[in-house]
Amino acid sequence: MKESDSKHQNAIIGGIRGRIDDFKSRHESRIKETRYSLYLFSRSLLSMVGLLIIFCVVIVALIAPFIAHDHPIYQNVGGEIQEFWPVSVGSQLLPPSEDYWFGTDYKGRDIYSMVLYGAWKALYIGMLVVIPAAFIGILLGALAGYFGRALGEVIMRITDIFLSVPSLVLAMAIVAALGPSITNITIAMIITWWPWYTRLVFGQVLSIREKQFIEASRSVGAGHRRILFKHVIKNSLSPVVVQASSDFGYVILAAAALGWLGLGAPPDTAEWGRMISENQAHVISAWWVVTFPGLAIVITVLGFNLLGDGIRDVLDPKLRR
Amino acid sequence: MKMWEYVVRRILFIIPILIGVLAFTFVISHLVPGDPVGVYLGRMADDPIMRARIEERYHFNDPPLDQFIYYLVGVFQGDLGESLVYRNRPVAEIIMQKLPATLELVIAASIFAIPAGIYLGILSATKRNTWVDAVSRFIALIGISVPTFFLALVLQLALVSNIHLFPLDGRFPNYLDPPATITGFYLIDSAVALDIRSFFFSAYYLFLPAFALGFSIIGYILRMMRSSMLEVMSSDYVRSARAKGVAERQVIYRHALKNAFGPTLTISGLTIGGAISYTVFVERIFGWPGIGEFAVSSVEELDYAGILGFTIVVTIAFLVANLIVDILYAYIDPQVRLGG
Repeated sequence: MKESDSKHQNAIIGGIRGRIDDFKSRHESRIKETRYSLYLFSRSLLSMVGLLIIFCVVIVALIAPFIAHDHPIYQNVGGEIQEFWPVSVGSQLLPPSEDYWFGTDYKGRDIYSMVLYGAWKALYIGMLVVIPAAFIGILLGALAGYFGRALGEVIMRITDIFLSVPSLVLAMAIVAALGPSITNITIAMIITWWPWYTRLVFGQVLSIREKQFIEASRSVGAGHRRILFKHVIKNSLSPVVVQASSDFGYVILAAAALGWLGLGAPPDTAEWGRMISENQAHVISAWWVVTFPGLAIVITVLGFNLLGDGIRDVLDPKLRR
Repeated sequence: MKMWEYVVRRILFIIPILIGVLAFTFVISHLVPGDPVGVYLGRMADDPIMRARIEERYHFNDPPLDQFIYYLVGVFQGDLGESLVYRNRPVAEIIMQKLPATLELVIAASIFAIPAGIYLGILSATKRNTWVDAVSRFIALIGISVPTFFLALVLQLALVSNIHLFPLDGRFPNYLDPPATITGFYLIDSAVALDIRSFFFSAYYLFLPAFALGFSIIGYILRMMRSSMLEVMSSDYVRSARAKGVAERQVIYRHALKNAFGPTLTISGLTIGGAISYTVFVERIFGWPGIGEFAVSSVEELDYAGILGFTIVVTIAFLVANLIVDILYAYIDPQVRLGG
């Protein structure tokens, strides 16, 4: 009884092992490439610094409620939960000290706590813009590039129109029409950002479409859908990854700019751009009111730019070996 | 294709794009879900008399296609609506009056930032992995990571609030009369009038805002120039030029630069578009009386005619900047016009 059990187990383990080996041997070249990419990536100091910065920002964003000294009140405004930092009389514009690490703003609120709470919003907008924009861009770009002709022409002309308005101004016009809020900032920035990916993928697909392996796969009877998703899109992704990682930084920058204009979070919210615009009238007498939220933006964006540069160096075949 | 043919084609190409942009701005301003009349009125959305006036003024009661025709014809005739912030003055008039100040700022920023970016990019590529390269790359990274509004505030803090090296804000000292308007560009006007004092003051007031605006341009251009220069420097013809004994200076500026210049030129056109939109921050913070400052006041009051007017004018400026860049590109690189 026992013997047969262990035999049975061995057979299962053997089966799994066999399958892993099978996977390994079938994808040997890809595994090797990935491992080499990771090796190159870990060798580049700047991209590791970038990764470290992003890691820290993510951690801070997640544990902000536990390490902040002060906390916002959440209130229900018209069915929507809004963050609100109440005024604290008597502690306005205090310089950085042991109690207030980054000082206090013109309404007496602790800037350190507000900066921590702002991290999550920045990352959240970044994620909610870059991922959908890249998704739409990849899909439309691949369709336009692969099928070409009328459909491609229409998609690319629309893309051209969107690309001919400076992105910040376009986003500004859209948010102003939809009404200021973080959700509308996200929608506006998705509308502004997808054309960049479309054009990028379109260019990639045009060259991949003519490659021999596409012809080969068509000759063995693969359908359009299979070729499009399995071969064309998969092989045009690496510049998209590069673009997306530095776009995270640009999106956070643009979101802060829209917040600065008062188009994002409502007043008295801990959002970095908004904090700067609310406090900038006092900058001459109190340097700390804009410096700390500003540095938070710079450091976060810098992290994503370093990461983007690192990934570009690793994925670019010309610089690779 | 001859050069003039390319130029004409390129200009004609702008028209459909402009109509497309107008169609999009029409959709977001007239067909926005909810209350488009309220969008135009911003904070005054509940006033019935104002509502009736706006409905009448922008033809909100007509069918959408008619509305679009009215809108399109209006824009091509120079009608951008009336600004609520400026007591119903026509938006087009306000923008025309404020445009020279903004253009002066943007051109000044580009004139110093683009060559600086190109030069530092070349330096960074040719002295790869030295401290020069490290410093330039660091400047570029900071340039593309710092929000322009933060940079402007930091400059004010560092150079104005403590040591009073530059004026805090404005375009010209209050106690003097600005130069007589010929072009609206103070630098040119005072130069034409041979007024050295005004010229000096204009330049002095222009310096800090232009620097704040140009800093991010330096970053983008430096990075582009560096990477295309690195690519070209490792190519075969550069090696053969070196092999036959051409001096290094000649190799860099004669052989390599010519071929590395294309992508940087394209990026320059794009960054100028960015610079025009970033005037929003710089003009507000430095109290510069241009269209960016007008846009911020419109945004603050959610005055939609003003925002839309700004969007359209900036888009036209951006299209023109890219047109100029493309024509320059075709002039430098004949392949562009022959291929098209």
